[in-house]
Amino acid sequence: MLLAATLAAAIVALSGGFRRADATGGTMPVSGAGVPITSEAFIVTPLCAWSADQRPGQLASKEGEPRYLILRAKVESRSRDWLAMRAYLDKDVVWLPQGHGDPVLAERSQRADDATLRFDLGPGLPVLVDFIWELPSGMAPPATSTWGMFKRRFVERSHASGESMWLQDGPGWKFTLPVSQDCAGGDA
Amino acid sequence: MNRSLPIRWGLVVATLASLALIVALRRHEPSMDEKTAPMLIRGATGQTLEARNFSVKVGKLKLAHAYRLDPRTSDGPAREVKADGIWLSALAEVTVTQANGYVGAQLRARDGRVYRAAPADRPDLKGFNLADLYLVTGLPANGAYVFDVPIDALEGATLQFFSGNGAPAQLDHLADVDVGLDAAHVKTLLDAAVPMLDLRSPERAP
Repeated sequence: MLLAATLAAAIVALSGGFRRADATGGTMPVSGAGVPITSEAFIVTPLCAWSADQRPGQLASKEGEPRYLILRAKVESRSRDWLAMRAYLDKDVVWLPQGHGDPVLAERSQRADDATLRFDLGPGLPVLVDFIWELPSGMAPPATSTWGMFKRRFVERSHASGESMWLQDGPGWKFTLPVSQDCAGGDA
Repeated sequence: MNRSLPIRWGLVVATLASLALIVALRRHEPSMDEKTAPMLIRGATGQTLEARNFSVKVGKLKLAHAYRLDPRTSDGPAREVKADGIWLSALAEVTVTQANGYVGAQLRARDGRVYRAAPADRPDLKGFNLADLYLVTGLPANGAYVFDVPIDALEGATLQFFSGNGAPAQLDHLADVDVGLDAAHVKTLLDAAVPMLDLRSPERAP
């Protein structure tokens, strides 16, 4: 399983990640807030994004701490099993600081309602999730930002081990949202 | 010199038949998931099921849409923890029998969907949520496993228990407990489900 995951990651890296669409000659759909994105594994509906001095649920920020970029999304697993789906989600939803190119994984993801870090994605149960990135030092919070989502497909019997597994299957979608100071209305 | 080798048609046919047989056998052999699947042992509510490293007895079930919990700080407000679907709690007594550790649980719906018991972080019930409770060999623990599930997953579901607090281990026991969730029982539980179940400790509840 580890070998297959490494191989899949290498293929994604070699393919250039979320390259500029015109560089590959292909087109990647770019959507906005409230539009569900459906992969074989997840339905992800981006709701809103904002920047803040502290992560949601954090009691207080200390001086000199970084700013954070937060994306709130409604997430539903399409798998039959809870197993590993949370870890896959964290690998599939990525930030594209330049709007294309190398994807950046979230520093953490947590429940939007009570900032719980440890939770599963049960089949068919929608959960509001906050994905959090630390903004690079010196980077001003952008007015809008772009994120990407990888495809993922289920393999009943892998060639390497004969086990079933979910494989990341290359860049799939991009979405752009305005970055505000709060997320009013983002709890729907 | 022109010597052509005679084609031995019998050998060609035998080779092709062997190849076809190999492909057919490979296609029908059990998958690795099937070969290494956990071994099911079955029981029902009120019975003590003995697995390799633990025993478990499941008791009463209860549904609630949300829980009211103790505050995180002494002067803080009570917390309300809502389910994404509905909370199903199952009273249980578990004992590890060979080595100290955890006993995990999951709910398996009739259609095959599987939901792991909620971790001790949510709802945090301080020793009552058995999902992440470290158990000492031979000492029974009483508490509950709590599952956040869609209402349509309840009818026909069973509860499954396994060693550890991750996922069921391959080639180990998976105790499958029929908790009697037929249509009538589910309706009774839903009718009795409160919007907010108060699980605060007695000294904090009014």
